Formats: sequence, structure tokens, C-alpha cells
Amino acid sequence: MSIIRLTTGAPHIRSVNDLSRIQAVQAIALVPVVIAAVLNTGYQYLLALNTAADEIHWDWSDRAVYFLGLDYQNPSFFGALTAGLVHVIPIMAVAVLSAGLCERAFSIQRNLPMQKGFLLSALIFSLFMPPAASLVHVAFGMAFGMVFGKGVFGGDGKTFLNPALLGVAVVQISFPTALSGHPVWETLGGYNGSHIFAVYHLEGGGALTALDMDWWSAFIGTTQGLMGTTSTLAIAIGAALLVWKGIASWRLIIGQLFGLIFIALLCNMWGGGILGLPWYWHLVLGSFAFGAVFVATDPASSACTDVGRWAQGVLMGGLVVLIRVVNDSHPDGVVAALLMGSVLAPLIDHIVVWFNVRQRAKRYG
Amino acid sequence: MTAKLWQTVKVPWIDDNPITLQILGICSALAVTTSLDTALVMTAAVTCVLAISGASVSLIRNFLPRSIRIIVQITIIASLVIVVDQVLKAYAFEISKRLSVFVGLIVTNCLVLGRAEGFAMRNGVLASTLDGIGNGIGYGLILILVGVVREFFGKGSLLGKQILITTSQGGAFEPLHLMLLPPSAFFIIGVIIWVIRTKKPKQVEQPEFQVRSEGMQQ
Repeated sequence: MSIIRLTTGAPHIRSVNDLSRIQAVQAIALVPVVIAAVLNTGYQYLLALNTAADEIHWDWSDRAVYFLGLDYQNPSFFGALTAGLVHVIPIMAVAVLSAGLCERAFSIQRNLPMQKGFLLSALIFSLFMPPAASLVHVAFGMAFGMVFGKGVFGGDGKTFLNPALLGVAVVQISFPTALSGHPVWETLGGYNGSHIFAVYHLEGGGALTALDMDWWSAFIGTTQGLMGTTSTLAIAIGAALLVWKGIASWRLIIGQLFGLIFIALLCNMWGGGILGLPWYWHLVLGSFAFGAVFVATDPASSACTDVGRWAQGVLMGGLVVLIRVVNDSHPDGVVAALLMGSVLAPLIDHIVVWFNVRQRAKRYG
Repeated sequence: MTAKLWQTVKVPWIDDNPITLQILGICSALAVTTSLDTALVMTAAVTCVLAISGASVSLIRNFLPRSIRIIVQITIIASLVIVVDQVLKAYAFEISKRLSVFVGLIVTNCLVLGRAEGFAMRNGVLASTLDGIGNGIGYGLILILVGVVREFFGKGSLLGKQILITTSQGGAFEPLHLMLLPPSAFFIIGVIIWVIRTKKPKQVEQPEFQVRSEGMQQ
């Protein structure tokens, strides 16, 4: 019989938002993002086949799409849906399986009941993957994140980094080129989320119009990018739900927005090229919005004082722009910025508490 | 007597390992273990310095004024490191170029000073020499283990010889780029410590504070 952990002593405050409810709301908030991810992935795939039909590689996903008889000459809604599912489902299934096995191993070892948090981690992790990600990479990254980001620290609520984020970071660092893998996606020019910034680095402002992108399409999410991160609209719907239910801290989200705008405006004053990319483009390109809403607000790995949340938010938002602008070998700096923010969160809290103690001592001491 | 000396050599291998238990010399364990050959050369260099510095410090321990002992120890260690560095440059130039500053940085390796101050200042010449050799071996065991894992998974080779053919060479093995970056050594050493402490629960440290247990119910 495993031990059921229930808090019986102090603190005597009980919230409506217990662990399973928090996770359920987060999962519901991810639903629009998943729908957008499926549709856009399928749409991009059919579009790529349309322009480069001779590039078909005939791996299993191509065969599946062909078998289902999809018409890539003029992509329909259901065509995009099916082609998207063919790509999204295997990645999600492998991520859930890999995360679940790690979670199960730790729960057996520690004689604890299985926690459901791994489902959410697997979901966020797979939305952070490019559709061409190899399933081996997905399994490896997810397992690494679950073991070293969560298992060794004691499970849900004791993580100092988001396990999904750690997994993504490991995959992006370990297999920098393999993520664009499949030839069909390669004709899309590297479907790994950072492509647009890389092009912008090289070619400047004309690049976006050359890619036939306007702000609106980037906002709706019909652009290239990591699967779950393209549609800022879907992410905004999820964010509204999270903030309304009190799961995500609005201070963290708005703080990141402020940081992003502030540093982007500073860069705009500084000069041209990628430095001149206005803040509203930074907002919709790459994986900033997804990371800001679903990863940065993870209550276990973010600051827990209100002032600390503002500080951490501004720090992460600013870092995203700085990494994007300064480091052209790592054009989409979201993962690195979020890791940095999570690592610094306890320090920020510590400083805030220290200031508070000192102020009160001055006032009353 | 010989049994006790043998014990001095053997204890630092696992039971009192400098890296996994004393947590000394971590920096060089991260820096030089991207491939096995640099790990081996580093092990040899550190073992030499440890043994000779242990013997020298032990030899003069009764004449050393306490107030300047660290300065004298560092002077001895630094001279030895310069000798080792020059020998490597003369006879193994390629490797010494790849080790770059890390041979010179043995001076600041906390392990060497730690053994000189912690052991050689209180024990005889023979015991101190053996302690240096033992600690060198213990340090080397971890370095070699980490080096094997990192070179094998990072490049698919061992000692520069290709064992698995990587994808860029037309094979099936995909090298883990992460293994070539310093953070991977943290993970590997962490896992090694985890395994050792699971096998030998005596090494597990007391927690600094206990999570209240009355709040949990069965």
C-alpha cells in the first residue's frame, strides 16, 4: 500500500485550487493551442508538399498522409486536420509514454502514488517540438527532463526548473541540426522556430515580406515555428483562462511583456537590422508567447512574491529580446531566457524578502 | 603496518573518493573529460603532483611555522606543476595543447592543497606519498569514467578511435552534442554519486533540515 500524502497540520489555509485542479485548468487552457498546433502543422505540411512534391521522402508519415488520400493541391480544412494529426499524435504519444515510464519508475521506487503531472509536462514538451522531430529525440528529451528536472527533486511541486522546459533545452542543445530533419520540412527552411529570426539576421526587414508574412498571419498562427508556439491568438485564449482561474500570475505575464517591449524599444533606438525589429513582431514570432504563458508561470519554478514576479517577468522578457538580437547562433532565445529566469527565481524572492524585512525593521525597530 | 598503508591507498578509491565524497577537484573533472586521452593524461599529472607534494610537505612538516604553511605548500605544489607542465610540453605536445591551461590550474585544484593540508601535515612521508597516489587513483577513476561516457556518446569514439559510425559519416549513431559541453559532466558525476550512495548508504549526508513528518498521514 502506498502512502497517501495529505497535509493535516498547519498552514490552515485551504484553496479551491488544489494540485489536480490546477493541472486540469492548465490542460484545458492548452486545448486551443493544441487545436492550432494540429491545424497549422497539417496546413504547413500540405503547403510544403504543394510547392515541392518531388521532395516526398516516403517515410511513414508521408505514407500515412498518402494513404489517407489527402489532396495537397488545394488544402482543405479536413486535409490540414488529418495531416496535422498524423504529425502531432505520434510525438505526443511518445512523450506521454516516455514521461509516464519515468514517473512510474520513481513512484514504484519511492512507494508513492503516481502523480498526474507528467501528462501536462508531456503535453507542453511536445508542443515545444518541431513537427519533424525524431521520435527518439522526443523520448530521450522527455525522459531526461522528467528524471533530472523532476524525479530526483521529489516530484510535482518540488521542481526548480520546469521538467518540460529542461527536456526541450536538452533536445535543442543536443540535436541542433536534426530538428529540421525531414526533407519536406527542410524546404520550408528549417521548421525549428528560430528560422525567421535567422533570416532576419541575414536579410533584414525585407525578409518578412519575402516570406509572405504579415503581422496578422503571425498572430493567428499560420506561420512556421515550433508546433504549439505559432498561434499567439490561441495562446492568448489559454492565458485568459489561466489568469481568470488564478492559476497563472498575471504579474509574471505582464512583466514579461513589459521587459520585451522595453528592451525591444531600446534596441530599436540603437540601430537597424535585427536590432530594429519592432516589439510587436518579437511578440508574435518564435516561442515567446507560449513560453511566457505556459512555462514561465509554472508556480513551482517561478518567484512567489508579487514584487519578485514583476522582477522575474521583466528579466525573462528582456532576456528573450537580448538573446534574439545579440546571439545569431541561437536566434530564438526563449528556452534559455526561461531557464535563466527559473534559476534566478529563488534569489529574487530572497532579495525581496530581505528588503521587506529591512524596511519593516527600519519602520518599527 | 603494511595493512594500514594499503588501506591508505585503497580508501580514496571509492569509500573516500575525492570527487564523489569530498567533492574536490570538480572544476578539472568538468573541463578535461571531453575525451578519454585528456582524462588519462590529467590523471597521471595530478597523481604525480599529489604524491610528490604529499611527500615533500610531510618531510618538512615539523619545521613549518603554522602561520606560513599554506604559502609554503602552494609554493611546493606550484613548482611541481611547472615541472609536470614542462614535461608534458616536451614529450606530449599535442595533448598538452588540448589540455591548455588546465595543467597549470592543478595549482588551484583544491584536491592537491586539501591533501597536503589535511593529510601530509600530520602523517609520515611514506603514508603521505601513498595517500597522494591513492587519491590520484580515486580522482582518475571518476575522470576516466566520465571521459569514457562523454567521448563515447559525444563522438562515438574511444581514445580517438571511431567505434560507432556517426550520422555525419554515414552511419546510424547520432552523437549527443550535449556530452561535449561542460554541463553534461555535472549530470554524469551526479549520477555516479547517486549510484555510489545507493550502494553505500553510509556516504549519504544527514539532511540539513527535516521536512515535518507529523503533517503526513499514513
